[in-house]
Amino acid sequence: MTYRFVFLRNLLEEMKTEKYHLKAASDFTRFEFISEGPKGTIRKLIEFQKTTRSNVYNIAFGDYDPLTQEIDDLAISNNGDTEKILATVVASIYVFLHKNPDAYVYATGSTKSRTRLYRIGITRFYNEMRKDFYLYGQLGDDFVDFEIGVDYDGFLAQRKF
Amino acid sequence: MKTVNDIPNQNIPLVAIDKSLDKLSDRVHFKEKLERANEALANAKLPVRKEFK
Repeated sequence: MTYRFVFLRNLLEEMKTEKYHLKAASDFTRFEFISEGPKGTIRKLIEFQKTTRSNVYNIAFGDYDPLTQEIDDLAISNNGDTEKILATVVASIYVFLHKNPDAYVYATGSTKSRTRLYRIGITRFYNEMRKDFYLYGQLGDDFVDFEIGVDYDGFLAQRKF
Repeated sequence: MKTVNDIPNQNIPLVAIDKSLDKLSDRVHFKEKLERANEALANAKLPVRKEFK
């Protein structure tokens, strides 16, 4: 069964960035795609994890080993497709929030450098994303409106599409 | 109207339901990351939910 999410059309046309095709579990909390590059193909898993806070889901993302069924979000694939991967992850957030309109999606990296990578990704697509998301940055226990160039501890997105 | 033949050439991701992924929904695959998120969110003051446009 395949769905085309029409609401993605405008975003994707504006983003002008190639994305991988996504496969989703029936409940749209798990997504998989295949990264393709000089190092071959790498299975990637995106997981929307229910947190202890009501309606807040943590997004976890990394390489997926089908043998151990483990994901490794510390893996650095260096497969030459970082921007395509980031765009694909953003697309999965659209789909997840479309299916879960009351949810917040929270993101923080395993390391400071990974959190910085998330910030770079949001910054890269900020102009497109802010049309459809309320974006917040976490500073300690506070969430403030996301601003480019500020180092945050985490990020939060709420849909407005 | 686009047809199936157009799909490989368009820049619109297709989200295919793959029931083999349903088995992945039974468990959290990266517990440490979820624990870290729960810690970071424990005392966080979430923003007031804004109304949709």
